[in-house]
Amino acid sequence: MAAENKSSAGWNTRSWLNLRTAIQALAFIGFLALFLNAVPLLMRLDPLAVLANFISGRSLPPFAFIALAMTLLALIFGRAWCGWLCPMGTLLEWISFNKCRTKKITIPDGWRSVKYVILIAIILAAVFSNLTLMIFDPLTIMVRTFATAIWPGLDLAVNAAESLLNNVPVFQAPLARFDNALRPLLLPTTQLSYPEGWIFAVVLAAIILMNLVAERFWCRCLCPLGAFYGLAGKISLIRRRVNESCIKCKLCEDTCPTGTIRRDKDCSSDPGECIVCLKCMDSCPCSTSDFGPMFSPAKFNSYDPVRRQLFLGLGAGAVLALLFRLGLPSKQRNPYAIRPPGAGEQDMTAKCIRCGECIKACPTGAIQPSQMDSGPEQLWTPVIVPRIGFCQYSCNACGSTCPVSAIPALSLAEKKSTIIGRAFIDRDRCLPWAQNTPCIVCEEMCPVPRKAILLHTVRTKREDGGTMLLQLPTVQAGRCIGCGLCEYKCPVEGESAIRVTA
Amino acid sequence: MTLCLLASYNSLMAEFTRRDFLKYALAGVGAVLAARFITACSSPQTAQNNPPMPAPVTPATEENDTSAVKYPDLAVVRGGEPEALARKAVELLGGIRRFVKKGDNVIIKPNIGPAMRTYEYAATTNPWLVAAVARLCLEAGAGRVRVMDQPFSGTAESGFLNSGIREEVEKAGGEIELMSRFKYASTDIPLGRDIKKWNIYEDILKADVLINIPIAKQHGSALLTLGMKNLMGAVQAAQLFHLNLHQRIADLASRVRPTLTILDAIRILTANGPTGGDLRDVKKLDTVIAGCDIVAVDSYATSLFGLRPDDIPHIKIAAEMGLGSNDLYKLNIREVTLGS
Repeated sequence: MAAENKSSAGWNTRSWLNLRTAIQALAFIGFLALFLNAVPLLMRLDPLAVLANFISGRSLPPFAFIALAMTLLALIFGRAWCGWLCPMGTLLEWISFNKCRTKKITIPDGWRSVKYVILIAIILAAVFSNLTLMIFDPLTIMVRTFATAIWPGLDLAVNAAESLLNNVPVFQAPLARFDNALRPLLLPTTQLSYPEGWIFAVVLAAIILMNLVAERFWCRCLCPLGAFYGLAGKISLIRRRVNESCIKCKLCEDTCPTGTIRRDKDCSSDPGECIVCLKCMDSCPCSTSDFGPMFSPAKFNSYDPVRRQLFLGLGAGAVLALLFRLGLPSKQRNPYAIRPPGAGEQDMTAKCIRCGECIKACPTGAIQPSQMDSGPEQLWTPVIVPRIGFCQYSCNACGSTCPVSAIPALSLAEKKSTIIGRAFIDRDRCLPWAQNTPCIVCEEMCPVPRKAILLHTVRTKREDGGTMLLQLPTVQAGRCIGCGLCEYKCPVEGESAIRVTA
Repeated sequence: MTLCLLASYNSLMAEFTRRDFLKYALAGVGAVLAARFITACSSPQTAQNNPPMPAPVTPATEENDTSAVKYPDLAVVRGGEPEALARKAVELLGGIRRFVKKGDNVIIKPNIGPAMRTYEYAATTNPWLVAAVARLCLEAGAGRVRVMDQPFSGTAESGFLNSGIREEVEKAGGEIELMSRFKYASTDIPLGRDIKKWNIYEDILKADVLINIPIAKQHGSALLTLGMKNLMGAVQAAQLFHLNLHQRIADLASRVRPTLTILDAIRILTANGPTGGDLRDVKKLDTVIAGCDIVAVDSYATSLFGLRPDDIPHIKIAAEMGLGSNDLYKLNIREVTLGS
């Protein structure tokens, strides 16, 4: 990747820059394609996710070699991931607010330590089998936000536009064609709802808005994956070099998106911060900086995790992991935390990296990120909320999409007999039981071959004094698998009269 | 050179002033208002989603027409492959051209309720039967043949796929339609006794020809799900029907009027319906019952389960409401067994 003479006609610095822009765009399209097709490759590319999952779950997740390969690449190219491939990095570059930062703010170097503290805290909490802090991983942030906010939000917007345009006769036929052809590819076909999606949208918006303080603020100061690659960058093979002919014109300092090139340090940069975007090469009027092999490790800076940051991270990881666990001794788990089929409660804490791939994969939108009701230890792990969506009987998408096997990859046959919960009828709310009103929706919907809901016919009094036959539903516990279709369809307004508990 | 580029980039962005922003914003608002205006202009025809109710093809109207050939009310065909059963049944009723004219917009409504079952479980309509009817319509010159339903225990795509209906219909040249949310419109049900308004799929109401192809299944509260119950696939929030199921089924049947109902009794589900899942509950009868009178088709179909029409409240109610005949003795029924 050594810089060529810019004046040469062929492959020059501009070409490198264009290549980077193209690869960034392609990688982002790739991210969207993986997301839309619920292919779990993205998280497997994430060495931090794989490492934390390995430490926390005490076993290697499938396809861990991909993450190993990414780490090896980082040992060659440093933080090139951040500048070339990371969808979060690309998003932050596209919405950089470069034109909005009128006066140059220099953020204190010490802030750069935060990402290392988060990284170390993630790893140490993982030693205590807790992965809650993986919520800070940029790839989990991206997938989670796209799954719960951007994708369903886009669906709402498209649907609103379609409803409006459908009133105009000339648009009706093309709209129908559009909806049938493109919706299955690009948008959910059933209406999904994520009551907490706005939280994730706000988080992502905040990360983007931090660009107002400094370009790629997230990458500089907060991103734990960037910190991981940054540590690799310290000893990476290809690094930025500045030769003696540099005139300290400061043009590269102004272009550097992570602000690591400093005139007061001879226009040198920290390979732990450099994202190999090559903009400095392009901005340099004298062609004094280039990228090439360097063999001695880079020197450490005040913000690198040497002593204070290391202990802070270790302490934070340990304390948080233990604090999060305070709720555990009671053994009273949240009865409504119904887990995706086959997923154990322990796996949810120790293996789930909170990436939200299962949320995207679930075709009915049943899987929701759990909030604080199961305790902070399980923040944003997947739970099934039947009133929002049911677990489709003939579907094992969540297990086959989970990149770290926190949800086991069950075969369809296994899945159909996997018990994820049990339904209980609330006779004080159930229409036939409580109000003498005929209703058997739960029985009708029950998808197991031998229905788990039985109907008992009784003769009861009618309002007008006569008698009538009424069917009363009861749950046959041995047959119920807890899919929640009954709870989803129960026509009682508000809280369902039949509820699944774990 | 680089400096030049940088400078030009900066100046380009610097030109985007507040005035520019306001201009674009104003243009955007204008576009939205224009769209609203167009919508407002065209809404009188569509805001009330009440396309005229089609006059069902019934023998009653033909009696007035002396030149009309007398067709049977019901055609019951037994013993054969689905395609042969469908062709014979339609032929007995006067042939597909009696119902489908050249260029007609045809919608076929099978039962793809349970999204997770294959056809053997008799929880969804036989795919070859649906495809055969689609093919018949296309042979008669139909402009467009669409097949649609709203599976309830999974996504629509999984239902179309698992039932085998997508594959067979597309082979036959028909289209599978994903029922779009924006096409449901609040619709008056003038003859309804309990429900006077419901959200119904617009295209189903507007189709030139609607062919209902239910499968005969046991059902917990409707007792049987046949032709009229199958129409619940055309509405939103169908679970709310259950609060007064039989009356509401009949009310809906008064508004959604299939031109033709072809009941699939090739396999019937005798227990654990309407979802099924156990082959022991499936009975293979190789029978198709077809007719223009949905109530008559449903009435005859009760006999498959050893019941009488009056055992099913919604059939009785529908007959009382004048939607069709439940008197099997008065109906003109042609029964044919293929290959005999």
